[in-house]
Amino acid sequence: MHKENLGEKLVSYAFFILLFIFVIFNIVQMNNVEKRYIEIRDKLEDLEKRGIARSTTVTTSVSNAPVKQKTAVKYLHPEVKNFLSDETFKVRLPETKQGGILHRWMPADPKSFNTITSNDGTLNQYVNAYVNSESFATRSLDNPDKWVKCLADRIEITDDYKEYTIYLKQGVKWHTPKVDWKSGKYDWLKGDHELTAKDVKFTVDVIKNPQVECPALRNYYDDLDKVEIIDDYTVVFKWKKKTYNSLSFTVGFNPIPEFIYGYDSDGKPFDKSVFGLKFNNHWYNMKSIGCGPYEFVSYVQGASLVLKRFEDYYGEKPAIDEIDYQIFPDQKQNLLKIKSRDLDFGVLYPTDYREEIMNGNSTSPFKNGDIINKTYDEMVYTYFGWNMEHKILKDKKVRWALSYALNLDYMLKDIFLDLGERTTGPIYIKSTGYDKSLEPIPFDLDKAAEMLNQAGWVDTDGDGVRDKILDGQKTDLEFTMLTTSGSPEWDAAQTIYREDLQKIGVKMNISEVDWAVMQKKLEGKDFDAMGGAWGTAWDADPYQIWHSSQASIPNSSNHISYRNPEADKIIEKMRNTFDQNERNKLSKEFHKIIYDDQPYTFMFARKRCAVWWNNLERVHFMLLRPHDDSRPWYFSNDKPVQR
Amino acid sequence: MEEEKKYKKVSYWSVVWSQFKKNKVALWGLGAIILLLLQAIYSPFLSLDVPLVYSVEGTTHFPFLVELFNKNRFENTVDILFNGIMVASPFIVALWFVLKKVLSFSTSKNLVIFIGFLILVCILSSVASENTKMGNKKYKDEIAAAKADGKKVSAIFPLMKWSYKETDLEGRNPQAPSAKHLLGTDATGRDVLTRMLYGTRISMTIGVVAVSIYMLIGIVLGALAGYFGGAIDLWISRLIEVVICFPTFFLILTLAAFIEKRTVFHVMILIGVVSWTGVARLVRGEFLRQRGMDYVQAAIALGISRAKIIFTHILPNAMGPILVSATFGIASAILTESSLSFLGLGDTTAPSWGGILNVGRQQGKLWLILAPGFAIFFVVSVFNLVGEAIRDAMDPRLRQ
Repeated sequence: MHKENLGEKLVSYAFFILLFIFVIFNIVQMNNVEKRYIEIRDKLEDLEKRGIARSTTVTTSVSNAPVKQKTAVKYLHPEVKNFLSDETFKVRLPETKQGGILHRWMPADPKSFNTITSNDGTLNQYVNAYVNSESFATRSLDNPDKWVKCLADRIEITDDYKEYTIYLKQGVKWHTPKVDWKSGKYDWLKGDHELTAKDVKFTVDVIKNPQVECPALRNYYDDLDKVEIIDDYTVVFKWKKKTYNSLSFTVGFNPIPEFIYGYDSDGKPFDKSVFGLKFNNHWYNMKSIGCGPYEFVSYVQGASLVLKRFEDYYGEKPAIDEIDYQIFPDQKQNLLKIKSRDLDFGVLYPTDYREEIMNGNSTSPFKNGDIINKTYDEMVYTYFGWNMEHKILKDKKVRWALSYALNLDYMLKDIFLDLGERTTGPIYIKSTGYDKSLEPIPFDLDKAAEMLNQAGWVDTDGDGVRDKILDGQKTDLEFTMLTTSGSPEWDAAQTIYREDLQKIGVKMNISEVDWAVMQKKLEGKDFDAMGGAWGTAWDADPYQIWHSSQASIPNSSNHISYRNPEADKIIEKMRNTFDQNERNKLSKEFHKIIYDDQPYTFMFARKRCAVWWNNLERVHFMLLRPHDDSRPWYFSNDKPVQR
Repeated sequence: MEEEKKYKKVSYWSVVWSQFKKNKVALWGLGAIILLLLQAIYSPFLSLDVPLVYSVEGTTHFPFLVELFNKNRFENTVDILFNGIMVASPFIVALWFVLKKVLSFSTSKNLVIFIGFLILVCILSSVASENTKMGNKKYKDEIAAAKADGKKVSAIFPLMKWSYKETDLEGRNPQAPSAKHLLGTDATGRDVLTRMLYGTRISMTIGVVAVSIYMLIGIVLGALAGYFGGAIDLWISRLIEVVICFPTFFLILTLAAFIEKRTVFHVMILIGVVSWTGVARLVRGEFLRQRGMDYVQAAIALGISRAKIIFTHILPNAMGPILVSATFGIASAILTESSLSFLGLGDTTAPSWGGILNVGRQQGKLWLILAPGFAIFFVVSVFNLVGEAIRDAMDPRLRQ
């Protein structure tokens, strides 16, 4: 019996080992077959490409000729009025002196320069804004409700807002790629490259490719039916539905160059089946290219990033020759480098702002006129959010009482040092859709206590905390505030709020966690209340944060699970409304509903304090992001003026 | 009687004590530790926003005693426990003398009885705090209001009238040191001196409890490995090596970042759980040495159970080096807790010295940096001094 067993065992072991060997053999074989297959296909495609290449060289030589002559473009819908307005923001004034290097600070290294796959705030603000965020048109910097010409000269929109015909400017050149030209490996990149309809189509294909890592961006183009190339400078965007989002995502479309991103480092076009994977790890990802006013020169990780003015830029060229970023994370170092004039321009954090500007003595460079400072509005608002599914906080009266108990005026004055403005709703405070008639909620503990009494929260057992019978159970008025650790301002604000709440018999616990943990908790809706900030846009679509359809989805931005059918109606209506006045009206209605519901206790529209040496002139802060766009700036002297 | 005295004189610990006494600096250090402990226990008499006694229009109130167990006023369990010890300390001392007279127990049992008392006080004070239902009454405001009404009011407060979490929003915070706030205030207007005083409680508790936790783990594992040897020794030694491989502070940092509502006890447990390896190795070595000695062989021959041999025969003989490392351990635990709070990963509501230091760094204010910095320096060096003196006193080669 025992022996038999052993034999059986041996046989089965042998069987499994054999099976394993076969599996390995099979894998190797399949790999070889696949390799051969890909080789053959590459060869075939290469042949095909050569054929195409020959024909394209012919067409480009033909299409190059009319560029110089600037033949009139034939409009598809000449009867439609051009959507774009003619006015432009004057980047350079006649007296502007050209030259100089602008030294600035960058707090963190970008993970990748690829604008499609990376969604990095630092990158957008410091690099992309100058190198590659040129879109068909941009919102006017003076009046953001209007769109002005950029890459496109004319955009025709059909009445149903489903079809956009875009006429690109001719002669827009891409930057020269920064590669090792001497090695000869990159000879295939030589020559000028012009922006054409092909780049636009290529970019759309990239975004729509499911392998490419840009789910958020792709989401916005879900309703885009197709893009048609009419000729080299004319493309048509066709949308499935009439949505307001289609407007900003078509008109504000930002193409990337196909001649770089469609090819391997040795000039081979990417295989279609693996395009997305190759694109995600593209060989040019640690460099940047575009057709903006500045071109990328060099990047050293953790040290510096240099941009140089692009002399072939199609628009008004900025005055400053070079932008030189120094990369380091420490804010104290930032302050010291501004003082020693290693940096020409910088932003002060609240504690530094207090020390240098509010309490600085008259000999400090911030006070004697050497360094100029100005506060500007950022498109960010801070808030305490209440989980609408929490058994206590779902009561509107409780939320109002909690809003009354927050001493925002003191916090603004003493903790946030007036670097902010009281805001009452989720709309950007400077935009036309913000309802200014809604008053900020004052700090009033008596009123808060009275509201809690009205809502049935009374301290029955004398333990200092209010309670109420909820679902047959006595519940204390207690909740936990979830915030990220590391901000002294938030720490202080919470401490004061907690003390004030305790005075009216509300118990607030504080849970400070790492940002990664907080994000996870928000995604799982596993919190009572939370403190946070949202970046807003000029004409933001409230759908993502406030629509009830987003409340039940995990990982959505509506983490507080806000549901209001009335608000839903307005949000949906706004998505189909294109008339600006009508939109403003709807936006104000929406603002009022949110204000009445108090799903967030809105705190401040944030401000920043910028400082710069006084030889930098015409420092002008934009209404839109990036607020500190340096294009209009220029240096009056090499050295700061003694005043 | 005469014989007993003679016997006492030659006991190991009395030799150590006589050696210790020769080190004057260490004696001062020991005195400082006792003073710090007393200060920690009696902090409410030094600073609290509750009057010891006050009378309005002839009616007299004594809110102090009850308020000591009010969870809305003292949010940290550590504070409630210390308050319990404060209230119970006169009774404990009296009881102890009575017990000593009546039962005449030996000195080694003192420690057991003392720990028993502590546990009893802890249980009683937590029961008391559970049953104390009070709001966060503002006595100062009440008394001021009564005065404004023209009523006859008199009140006796502790030395300072601040609670460690009370925010004073009247001045521009952080306020510089003044007569009102002797060491100024922090960014939210909380009195720094009061927070420092209550911070002693946190530091002391962290030191003692964290060290106790890792002593317990280290002694048990080290004793098992050293006594049994063989496979058990092999596995425990490998476990020690694995845990030693982790950089302790970074391990604590990482773990702390993932606890959502950090309290002082989490920090103690964290420190305790990751730093037992040194003690375990020490105990293992000591046990390896002692195992072969005659008295252990005799005990085995007498058929005494293993547990008894390990814990009552070998362990007391191996206690010397453990005690020394515990004293140093307290200092390093206090330092670890301060570093954690300084990095913002401690208990955010507890008045920890490291936390105050962190606020000082953010605000760049001298009084917020110097006060806690000096306190940490002082406590750590005092514990190190005492530890060193014990080590020297135990070393026969240095005996004078």
